[in-house]
Amino acid sequence: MTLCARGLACRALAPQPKRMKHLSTVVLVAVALGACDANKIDGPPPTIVTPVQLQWHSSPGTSSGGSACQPTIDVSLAGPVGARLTWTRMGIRTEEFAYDENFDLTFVQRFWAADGLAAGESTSSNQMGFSSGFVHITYRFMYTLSTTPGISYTDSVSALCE
Amino acid sequence: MTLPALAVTLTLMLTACAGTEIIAPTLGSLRVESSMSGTDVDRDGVIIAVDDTTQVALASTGTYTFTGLVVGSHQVRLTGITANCASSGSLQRTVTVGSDTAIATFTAVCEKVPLAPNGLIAFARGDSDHTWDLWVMNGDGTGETKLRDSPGATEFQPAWTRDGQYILFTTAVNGGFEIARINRQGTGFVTLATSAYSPSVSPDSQHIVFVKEVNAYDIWLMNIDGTNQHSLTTDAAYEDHPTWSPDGSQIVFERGYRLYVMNADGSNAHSISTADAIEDRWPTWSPDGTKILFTRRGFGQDHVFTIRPDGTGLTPLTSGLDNDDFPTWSADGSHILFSSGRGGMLSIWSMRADGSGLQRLSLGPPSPYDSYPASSR
Repeated sequence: MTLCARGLACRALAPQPKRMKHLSTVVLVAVALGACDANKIDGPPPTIVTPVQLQWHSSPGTSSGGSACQPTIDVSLAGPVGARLTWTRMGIRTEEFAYDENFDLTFVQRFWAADGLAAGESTSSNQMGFSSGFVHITYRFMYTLSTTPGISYTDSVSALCE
Repeated sequence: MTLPALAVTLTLMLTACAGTEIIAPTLGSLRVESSMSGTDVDRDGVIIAVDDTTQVALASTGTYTFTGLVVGSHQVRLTGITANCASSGSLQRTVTVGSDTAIATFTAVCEKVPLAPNGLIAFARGDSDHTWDLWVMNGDGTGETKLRDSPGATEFQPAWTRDGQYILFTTAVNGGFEIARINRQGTGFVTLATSAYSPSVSPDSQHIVFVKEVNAYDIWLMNIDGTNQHSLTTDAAYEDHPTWSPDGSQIVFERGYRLYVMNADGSNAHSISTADAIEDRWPTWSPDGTKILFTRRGFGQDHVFTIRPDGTGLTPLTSGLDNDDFPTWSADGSHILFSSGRGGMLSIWSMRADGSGLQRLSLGPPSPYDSYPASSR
């Protein structure tokens, strides 16, 4: 709040019409009062921006009895109606190896079973098994968004083999 | 008021009001949560509207956090929920945004979508006894329904009659194949032909073209009730998967794993496969007659192609590491249905006629094995 909003200065400067002799005085006071009107102090509400919000969730996998560990990753896309995500590439890192980004578009499309997501859609990962010994796996997903053409994004998601 | 006095007064006043004209309103956040459970959960998500001015799409079970909301009351509304899903609370509510993040939660339970009167997709699903059974679902993949129990027996290659009231299919009996018919409710089983498979109903619903094994595997024709069976071809090469042109004047089929087109009376059979073809399978004519859809097999994966009936305009529609087989058109020709192993499960997929808009339709049990889609009108 300001002095003006509290009415201190504004009240002291209340107009005295009978004493006004010059039109300029009236205009100046009116302008000043307008500036101090309590109704004018709030700015316009901001435009609400609705950025894309990608939500990741991973579930651990297990490897026992000779079966491969296959952790699951879920992803959903929320944002402006009509927004779309398109996968471009995928990388992966385990405890033993550095990132391997030799997973091309075809692979990532199979991993997610489609070429991307529309706002409002969700999907789960498939077809990525690991032999025992890998405890901590980090996936790296690369994609583009229709809301920001020309910009590539990368998210990393971790999953465990228990 | 004298001018000097006015000047002093204005100076004081402007000093007091300086920088006070615009004050940003206090802002807060709102997290909207949507949760759906049950069968046939809304696949394309829901729409959340705040004050009917700002809209976002989020998954049927998902969250979205709005920021930059003026502190105070706001209307939050959920739309886009499908008719088979019912919410336990109001879909429109007033939320007070304050200094802490406000939360609005919507929950809904979905029931199985009933089968529509038309636009159904019949398909074959592998089950726990390692045989195929006939299932149907709506055009959007909802309402999956097993047509009939056939324990220990394989039933596949469904083909609709034009009125959508009957399904012809192939059934494996005693090591051989038969063509049978059931109604769309899965009852009224009738055998139409023995040592026969791959049925296709003519556009006028009067005839069935199919494959019959006598001395070789040839293309045959019979009336819709199974009478008057006779061969259209006598070639020694393996022949399979005949389907009609939309005007009923021609038939496309496989001969020696190449695509052939012939007149409906069996005359003028000629290849339309390109010279580099290794194995072209499952041809079906587009509803507008301009293209023939098929799967090309080779040394890599099986993928879906189209070609013009005159053998020109070969166009690939799918790619990737998975096999895409058994392609067929939707009844209006706007989409293509096929079976694919992408995603780790053999499911029925849909894409637009140009290959875009890939979407999995059949979700089924944890490991479905879905093949041979066929769309009704």
